[in-house]
Amino acid sequence: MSDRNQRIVALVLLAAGAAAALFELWADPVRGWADLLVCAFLFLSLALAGQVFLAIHYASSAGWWTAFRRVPEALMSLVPLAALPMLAVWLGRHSLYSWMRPGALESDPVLKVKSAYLNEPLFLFRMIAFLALWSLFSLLLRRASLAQDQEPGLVQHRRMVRLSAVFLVLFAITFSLASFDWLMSLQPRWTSTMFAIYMFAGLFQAGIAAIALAVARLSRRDLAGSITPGHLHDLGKLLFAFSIFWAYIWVCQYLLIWYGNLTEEIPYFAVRTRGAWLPLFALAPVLRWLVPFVVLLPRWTKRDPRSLAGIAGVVLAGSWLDLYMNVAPAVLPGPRLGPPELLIAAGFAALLWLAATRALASAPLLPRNDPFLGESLRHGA
Amino acid sequence: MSQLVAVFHDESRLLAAVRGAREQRVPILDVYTPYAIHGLDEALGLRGTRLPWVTLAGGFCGMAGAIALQVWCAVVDWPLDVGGKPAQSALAFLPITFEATILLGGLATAAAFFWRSALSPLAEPRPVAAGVTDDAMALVLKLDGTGPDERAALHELLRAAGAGEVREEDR
Repeated sequence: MSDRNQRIVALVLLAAGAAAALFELWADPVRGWADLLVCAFLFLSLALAGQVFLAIHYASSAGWWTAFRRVPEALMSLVPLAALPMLAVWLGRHSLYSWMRPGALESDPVLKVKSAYLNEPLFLFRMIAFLALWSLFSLLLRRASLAQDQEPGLVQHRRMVRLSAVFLVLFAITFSLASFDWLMSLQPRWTSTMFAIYMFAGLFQAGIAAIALAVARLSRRDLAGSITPGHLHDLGKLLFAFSIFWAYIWVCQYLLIWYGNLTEEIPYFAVRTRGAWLPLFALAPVLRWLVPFVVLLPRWTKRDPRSLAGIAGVVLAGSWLDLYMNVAPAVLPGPRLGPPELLIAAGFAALLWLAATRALASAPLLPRNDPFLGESLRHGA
Repeated sequence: MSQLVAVFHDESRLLAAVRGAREQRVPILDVYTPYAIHGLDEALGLRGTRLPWVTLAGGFCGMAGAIALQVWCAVVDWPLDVGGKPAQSALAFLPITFEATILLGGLATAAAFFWRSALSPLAEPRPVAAGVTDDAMALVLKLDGTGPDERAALHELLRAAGAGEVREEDR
């Protein structure tokens, strides 16, 4: 398919997704808002994962990744855009968050204690503050990176290192609180001390999958010759490692809650392991851990662009399902998977693809004047 | 057994010498380097390591042993009521099974590596050349069955590749 036809398909999918979302919000608001929350959070997670990936590599002075630095950078530059659907979720708050319904906080003694943190004005304040903070760092990092293309020297590189280190510290705190607000508070009486790291593990694994997918594709097109099998091999190792990390965190949360069997903790899993939810609940670890673990075990599957891209697609599908299983069972009586879910997810995927390719096209694909570029081009050669 | 030791101080020269020796079909006994050198395995034409099979076997023993021990203790020999759960609650056995799998897999890998590399705390160190544990790299070629002319040609080849020191020795 030519680039032009791909754009047309993506625009059609985006329009279909938007139409499906609007129809679903009118026909069944709870289901519609649940679908939107899942996709908005996943979209924002992928953009933020690009930012975290970039920040970690700058903070640790990594040199292997510079040949495809523009890929995580393109994801990062979508953070301000990805903040908008997340802000839109505020409009559906009364369909999603039971604690926001009138009188809910006062009538429940447990929620009354939590209301010092869990109340509507503070929820909105945190949402705006976090999204603004992440967008600010996204803009500053992108500006420094583009400035480096124009001026030789280490000034912009050092600025990126400083910004990255500060961002990582702020991100760890703000993303934890955001995961409490937007997802954990869907069941307001429930708490899990593993939840923030569970959401971070999901964010980083999905982000590595998205980066691996894009780099595998670019390695056969515009970046052919710059991307070596060594780059793909290391991205495959990262995806393998963070699939295991996600599974480790998932089991830690499940095992401790199952073992403790406490009244305030167990409902989360009791709901998700009953009836029609159970197959979907069990499928998420299969897609996010079992399949990538088995497939990425041999050396060649990590170095082959096709197999690496295929497994990255499986992980991304698993990421959506995992988030769906965090949101939907909290607000819907049973799983409702159909064309609306598919179309809305496809619409977000098309929006991500359109915005990311636009960001990639707006700057040279190989960053100029980066002190690590030479090292990266020789990586694994 | 007589062998030829060539000492290098530069990765690329060592790699060139290895490729040259392989082109001339001189048997390479081993290469000693103080750190891993990218591309050396490929240049030497080494086959893939078989160490993962040892890891798998060790890990499997750890897994089977941990499950057997826990089932025997907690289900067969002395069932305990923990939080009203059935005695055979496989999920509760997961952490210990996981840890024992990794422990035995790791120990087996390390033991097999030390055994195959003839490394042990009691072994007397016999470095093939001074500095191979610091900043020098040594290429060791087999000399048995080579005539004087061939030996002279080998010396020439290694000198040309950039070896700092070339000497013959019997071990």
